[in-house]
Amino acid sequence: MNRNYWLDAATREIRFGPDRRRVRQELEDHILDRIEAAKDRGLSDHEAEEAAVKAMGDPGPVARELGRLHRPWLGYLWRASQVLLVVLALCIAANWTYFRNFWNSGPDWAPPEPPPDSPYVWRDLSLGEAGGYRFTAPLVFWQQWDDGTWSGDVILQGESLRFWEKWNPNESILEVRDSRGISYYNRTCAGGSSAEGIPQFYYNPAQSSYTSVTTEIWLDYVPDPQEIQWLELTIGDETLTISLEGGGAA
Amino acid sequence: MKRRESNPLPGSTAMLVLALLKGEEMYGYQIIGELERRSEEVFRLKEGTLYPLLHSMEKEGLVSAREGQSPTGRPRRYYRITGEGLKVLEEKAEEWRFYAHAVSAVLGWG
Amino acid sequence: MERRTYCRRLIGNTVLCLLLALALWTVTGCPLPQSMAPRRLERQMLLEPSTIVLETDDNQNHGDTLLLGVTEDHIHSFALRDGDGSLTLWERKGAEPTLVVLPRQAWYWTGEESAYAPKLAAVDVPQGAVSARLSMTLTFEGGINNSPVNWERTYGMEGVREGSCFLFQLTYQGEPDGTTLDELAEQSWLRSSPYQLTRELRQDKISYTLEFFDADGQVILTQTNP
Repeated sequence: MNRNYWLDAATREIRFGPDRRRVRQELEDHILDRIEAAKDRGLSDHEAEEAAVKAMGDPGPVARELGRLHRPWLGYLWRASQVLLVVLALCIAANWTYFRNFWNSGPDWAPPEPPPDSPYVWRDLSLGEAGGYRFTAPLVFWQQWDDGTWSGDVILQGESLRFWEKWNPNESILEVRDSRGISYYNRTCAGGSSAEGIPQFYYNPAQSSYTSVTTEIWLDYVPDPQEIQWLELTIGDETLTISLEGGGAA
Repeated sequence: MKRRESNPLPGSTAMLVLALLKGEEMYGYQIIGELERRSEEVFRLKEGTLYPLLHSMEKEGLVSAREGQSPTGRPRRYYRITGEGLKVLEEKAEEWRFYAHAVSAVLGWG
Repeated sequence: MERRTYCRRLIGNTVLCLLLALALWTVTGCPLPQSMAPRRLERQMLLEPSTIVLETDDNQNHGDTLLLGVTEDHIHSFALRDGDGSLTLWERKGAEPTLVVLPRQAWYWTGEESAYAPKLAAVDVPQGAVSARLSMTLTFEGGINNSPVNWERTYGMEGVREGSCFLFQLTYQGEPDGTTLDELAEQSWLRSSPYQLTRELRQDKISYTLEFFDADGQVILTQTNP
């Protein structure tokens, strides 16, 4: 029996190719060492190989044991994960423009600053949780124009760790009401046309980060903030209250 | 005394291999040689069966393996004992001492 | 390579695959299976989940699937594409049928050529209705190419039953590519996205008559607006 025959027989039951080759190599290393030792003792090539293979014993039980020890599923799983990695890399290459656009998307939106003479400024108001989003108003301010009318500006932020379903501040689901019970006219839904003199709102589309969405709601023809205690924002089926008490009148 | 090719006690080959690996890192052929040398050729196994034994001990975490090279440049696998292996070796050696003591006592050598 | 090395590499590879897949999913806008996308839109807009009452074929709408869902007070009109989409909210009349504009225009076949125009749906149709008719008047007052235009046209449409709704297709009466002032006025309604029609209908600025008939051809309900 030559050594290749023995090696094939002993590794026959290892089903995962790379494993089988590795074990075969280890066994072959052993046989080659044994052959060299036998030749050093003066045996011919052929005799040395015969003796070495004989010393290894019956390949049958060895094959069964090795087959039992080297289960193929781990190897197959490993191979599958390699294939998956390559497929994913190809997908990313094919969608590379998405990645480029993702990193340089849109101009950075700078939150407005209240005019220096604004008498009413509130910052970092916590509005509580609604629909799984945590709402805050980083900035709310009122300002008076030359004709004596007031405007309000509410920066509204909805935050959630669920980056795959960020808050969508669609204008069609937004309603604004103040503590006098007056509902504001939704100017965005009306195609942007202004309605002189009545309380109204329109909004700046949102700016989003990984976890939050920020939007700006403009309020026109609003009362002097001393006349109202709160502003109520209805978003879909949920309602948020912005308390204007204390007036921020620093 | 005649050479023996079967195990005197089940699990003892594993213990002997672990004991050899306790001292140094070794490859398969070297283990066979050392085993024969140290037991003064009393223990001699069918050499092919060493590998299923080594691989199963590796699977159980008693030994760890590293791919190396022989002086002639052939790839070669070296085995070394792990912490877990040392623990098992100690337990087995203790059992073995106990057994040997009992046999000695019966035979009246003590 | 032995079992433990496989395990470690396998875990490493799997983690890497997951990270890459997550990155890919994120930059492509987190698409979801079609059936999950409406629920996500509703959660994002803080609306309660609706019951889907109509689903249209995406071939009619340039690859968008249009859905209508109802809740107690609202009708949610979805346009879905590639696992994402948009939601338009309508007030539901409840006791009587509600007429909504589908969020995308639809292709229709004129016999010789195809054209593309808004489509409407009546939700909450009366029991026993086997056919329906919608007559809707569109008007245009203003200037086109510096010429004053005062245009008004009434469109009569036969309803096509689809699920629990009736669908009505607006069709061009003039040439879809015509250049007369009347044709341009009509195009201003039918060619642009259904946004204008949606807005005006939601604000009750469009007059229409919606009739439902039973199996004998008898009128069982008439709705007029305003």
